[in-house]
Amino acid sequence: MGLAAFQRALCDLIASPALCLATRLNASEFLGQYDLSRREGQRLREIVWQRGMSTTCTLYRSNRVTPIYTLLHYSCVVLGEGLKKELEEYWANTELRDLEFKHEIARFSHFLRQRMAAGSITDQFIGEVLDLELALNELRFAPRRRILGTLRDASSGKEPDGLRPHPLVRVVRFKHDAGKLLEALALGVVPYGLPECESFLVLSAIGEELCVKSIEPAGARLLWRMQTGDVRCRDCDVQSLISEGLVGMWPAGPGETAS
Amino acid sequence: MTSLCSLPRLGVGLMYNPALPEFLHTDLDAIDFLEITSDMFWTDRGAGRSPRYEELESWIDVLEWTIRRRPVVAHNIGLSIGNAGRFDLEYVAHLAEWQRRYQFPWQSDHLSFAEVTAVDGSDQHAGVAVPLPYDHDVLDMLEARVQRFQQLVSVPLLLENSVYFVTFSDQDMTEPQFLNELTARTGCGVLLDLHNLYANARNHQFDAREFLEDLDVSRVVEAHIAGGTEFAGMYTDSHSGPCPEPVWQLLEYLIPRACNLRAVTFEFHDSYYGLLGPHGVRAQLVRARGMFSAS
Repeated sequence: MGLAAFQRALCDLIASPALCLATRLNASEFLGQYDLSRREGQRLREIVWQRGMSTTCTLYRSNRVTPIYTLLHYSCVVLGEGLKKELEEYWANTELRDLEFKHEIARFSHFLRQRMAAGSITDQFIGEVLDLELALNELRFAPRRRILGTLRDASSGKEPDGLRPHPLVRVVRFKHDAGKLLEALALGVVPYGLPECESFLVLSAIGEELCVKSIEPAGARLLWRMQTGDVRCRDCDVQSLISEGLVGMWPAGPGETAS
Repeated sequence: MTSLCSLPRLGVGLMYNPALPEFLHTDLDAIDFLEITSDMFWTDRGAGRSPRYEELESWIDVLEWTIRRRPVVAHNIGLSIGNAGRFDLEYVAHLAEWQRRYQFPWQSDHLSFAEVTAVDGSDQHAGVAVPLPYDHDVLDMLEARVQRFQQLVSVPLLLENSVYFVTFSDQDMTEPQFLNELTARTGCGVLLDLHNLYANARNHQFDAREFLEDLDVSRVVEAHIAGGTEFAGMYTDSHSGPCPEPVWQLLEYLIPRACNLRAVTFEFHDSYYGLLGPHGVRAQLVRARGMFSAS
């Protein structure tokens, strides 16, 4: 019996308006799951009837949706009306371990990928838009100066063991024209009917500002294949990427800290 | 540890938010100090991870630029001091490390809990800051934790009165009685959020001035002022722009009575910067300074 059980019960109610309603109808069933004193039980019985409980439940949802809507905004646009259903499903099945934006979007993305793999989400754009937003966030949260410092130190020390994409560069492969897709999404429109056509976006956080690099499609495709570990290249294949600073003889390792 | 009456008088400042870097460069003269939510300057990878805290470089740049020019105080959100399941001493040790690094005059957090410990011992987040019942057992738990915090971090801890939307029946004490007892037992201070007080008084129909009369205001070191909005049936602390008149009136009432008041902080959410603009932010600071410097 004690405060810890009371706090768990209160948090369970805050996370679930449905549970609050069920507790109004049958408090004993819910309260019976916790080791509560008579006073603690009475407080919870009363709380589910208070107007402020509804506000608290709404604030909980608002706080949980904020990182998702802020950092996976285009994915939310693509999901459209379906977003609410996905969020309900996600909240019902995922424990909230913390409110770190970085972790919450990783958990929600993982959930969406599972739903896509299971065929529950079939939208044609969601995979590539999610890839883009995850790549952007990975770079946004990357310890840029530390990575650049590690690369500088490594270049004078360890023996490089092969060509690799720069750890502060990400390539995203689209099944549609990336420019047209993102233009539409920026207006809040999902461009259904956009024909399939492979395209790439190269993102770089090497400079002070995160930017999109404009490079030839062939170069972008090669960079994407290197990023996915599909190919090890010879110098002559990637000369322009090397001269752009997108590929180099980096030692294995520093890129891992970016994720 | 420094007593409350020997803390430096900082003046009128702003709570840092992501809309502010440009304002700090163009309007630094408008603030006497900056308050930061330290938890926003790192990613917490979770208890037991090594390293547990990953600092965000661009945020640290702003902090270090500012601290060379103005005093900075730390207002934390991760202590979850009311979590009955666990007191996160790893987190406190991290705050102590930041204290050594940045020499804040004091640190503060909220009189609430945001994390709970599940039956299996794992941490779970409540998703919101949840109020505590003002009972004797809660007071005993907090007393030990505040003392431990102040031992480890070596500066006074201020605890902020929470905004709450639900109330607990049959409490052992009122909120002012609880705060008076806690500060008397531990020597900690109060960060009195006047907007939270206004919101609670409005939502739960009590007189905010009576609250101030009952509170030992000599323990108030810092006051928060902010704006709010109606949301989901209650008036909330959304920090949505300028302070409403009743909050200014509470500040005017508090200042001459709170002999250890050292700082007044205006808080707004970054999404409202477009509406407030730099002139709007300045106007709030000027009005607060007019009241505070007259004391």
